[in-house]
Amino acid sequence: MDATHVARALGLPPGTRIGRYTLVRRVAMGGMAEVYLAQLRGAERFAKLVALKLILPQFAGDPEFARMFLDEARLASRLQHPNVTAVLDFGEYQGEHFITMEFVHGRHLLELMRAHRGRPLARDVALTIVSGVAAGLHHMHELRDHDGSPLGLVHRDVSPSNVLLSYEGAVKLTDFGIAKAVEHTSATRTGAFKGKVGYASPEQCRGEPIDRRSDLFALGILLYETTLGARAFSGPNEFAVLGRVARADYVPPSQIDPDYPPALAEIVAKALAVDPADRFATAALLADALDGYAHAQHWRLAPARVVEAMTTHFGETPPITSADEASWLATDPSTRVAATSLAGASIVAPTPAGPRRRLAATIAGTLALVGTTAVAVTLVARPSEATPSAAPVVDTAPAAATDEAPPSVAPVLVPTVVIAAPAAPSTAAPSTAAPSADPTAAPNAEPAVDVEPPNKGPKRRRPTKRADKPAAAAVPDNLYPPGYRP
Amino acid sequence: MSVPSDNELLQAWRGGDGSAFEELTRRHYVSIRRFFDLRVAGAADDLTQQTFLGALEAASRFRGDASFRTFLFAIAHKQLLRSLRERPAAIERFGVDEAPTSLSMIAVRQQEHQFLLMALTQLPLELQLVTELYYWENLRTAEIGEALSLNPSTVAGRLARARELLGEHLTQMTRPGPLRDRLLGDLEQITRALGPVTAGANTRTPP
Repeated sequence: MDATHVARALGLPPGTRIGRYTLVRRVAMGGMAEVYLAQLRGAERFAKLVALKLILPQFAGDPEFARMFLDEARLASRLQHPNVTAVLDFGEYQGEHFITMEFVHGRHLLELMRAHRGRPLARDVALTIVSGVAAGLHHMHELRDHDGSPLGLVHRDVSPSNVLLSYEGAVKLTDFGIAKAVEHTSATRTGAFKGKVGYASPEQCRGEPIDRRSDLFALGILLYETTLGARAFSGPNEFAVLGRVARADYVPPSQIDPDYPPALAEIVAKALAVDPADRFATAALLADALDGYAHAQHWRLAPARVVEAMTTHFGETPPITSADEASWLATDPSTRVAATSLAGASIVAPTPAGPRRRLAATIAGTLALVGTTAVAVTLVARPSEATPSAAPVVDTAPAAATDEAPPSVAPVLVPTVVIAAPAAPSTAAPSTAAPSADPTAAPNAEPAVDVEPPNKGPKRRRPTKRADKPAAAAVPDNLYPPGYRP
Repeated sequence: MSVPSDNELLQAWRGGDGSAFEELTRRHYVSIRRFFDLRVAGAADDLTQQTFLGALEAASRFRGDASFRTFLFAIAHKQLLRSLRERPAAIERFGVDEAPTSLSMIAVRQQEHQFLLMALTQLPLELQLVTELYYWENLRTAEIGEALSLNPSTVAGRLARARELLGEHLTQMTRPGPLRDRLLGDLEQITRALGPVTAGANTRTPP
């Protein structure tokens, strides 16, 4: 590893310009790519926060990675659905490719599950999330080519680390890095298993051709794991896991939770059938089944409950940018950062913010942040209907995947992304531990967003609509059917 | 100078040569480590250590009528069973006991080996153990019997049952074709060849 690689391992410094984008901080890092929070600057102080995904330099010259990256961008650019992270741009800068996506201000489902420390999510929260993912997945499965012929896409990596939950309650499926058209898919070509072993389907494990029903199996795993707090398929090594998946050998829900509702267990069993023909035929049908179950329980699957779960486990929504970040973003970053070569190098300490800067920061920060909050999610709508309002302003989703299975064993070619600690360009280091600090997680696995910046950033100015959006902890009664208490 | 046998090293150790036991440990470390790695990845390090410490304590009582390896595996087997008793069933909870895994797809490149490992790991523990000791450690049925406290005829019966079940799992896991034919046709040979492949399992375990 040469000096350039060492420098890049630390991430590109805040203020680095990549085309029209200015990097704010690295939010995730994986085996193949890294994701930054970045600001797109337009004319007349127009500024927008996005997620910028960059191939790691050691892979930048690899045609296979470049092709996968381009495939991901092309494919994801066609996806337009509230439950799928939107791709905004694909570009090249100094020989390196990048994708920009809407920045989803929130957490991975895996983080939420870990924060529950082995307990299940509230069932209606779990069902809201799984049916949201199902809706996004269905959109992808149904995608057609420009001539109207079905593309037959399969995601192949539906797992808790590829589901993003915004602090506003939106549910978004992300990371289309290994999604593929059906006919090209073969899972166990020697050493090239794609996806995560604990979320594969039996046919994937057996190296057989797969279609959308393979993703349906993964949805079944999500349903199992969110409603039970336990892994569906685990083992001391990858082969033990693959072997269990291949036989769909999971511990029946009732053995883990004697009160597990039989109707829900039936849905799980159908999704986790070994033979694809025995599963739900489409993700929409699985979502319908969940909806029907929720209806029978007098539940409404609503983002408000996701918001509540997020607040309970992660506290109040942190600002996207720290006070210092907001401060220097308010100035013209090009005057501040000397060397901005992608190859790595010099990190220029931000100049201390003076009173004028702070004022500017407050204004800019407010501008930037109003975006996020202006997008009050319609609380009563299903997530699939609710999030569109989020799409226009806040963007997207880092394809960050914390490793589900032990980090060291991620199969080749799978982008395993670990969320990096927030690197505020300030001198003061946030030290607050994440509330959900998980001893088994990598030390830097908790996103920085969790940490309240040392200096209060510009106050998030809520739009006047704020009254419509209840504080996450206090959800108004009228959101639920009479008699239902979450 | 010829390489000293296990028993010679043991005698040297009894005669006061401390380095002789270190040599014994080095010699058998990979086997013992794999024995745990493939079943309790997260605890493999500790259990391997405990096995050698246990062997060191018991070595003065070791009579030498079994091989030293058999003696080691007998200790490892007890450690393994105790560890499995202490661990709750095969339910892994999020954020609580997310254990690392050992052997990965990356380490095993041959398709036959991948499928055989998938099948082998599905066998009940008692069948996995006899298979591993027989094909990977080259212990004879009588030695396996001593290590696992079993009658040699029980060992032979378990070996037969393991081969039968392996065939069934492999048939379930593969489609008709050359891969399945190779696996079922050369089952014993492929199982034997897996030994050196899995011996590297411990090198992949995070520290």
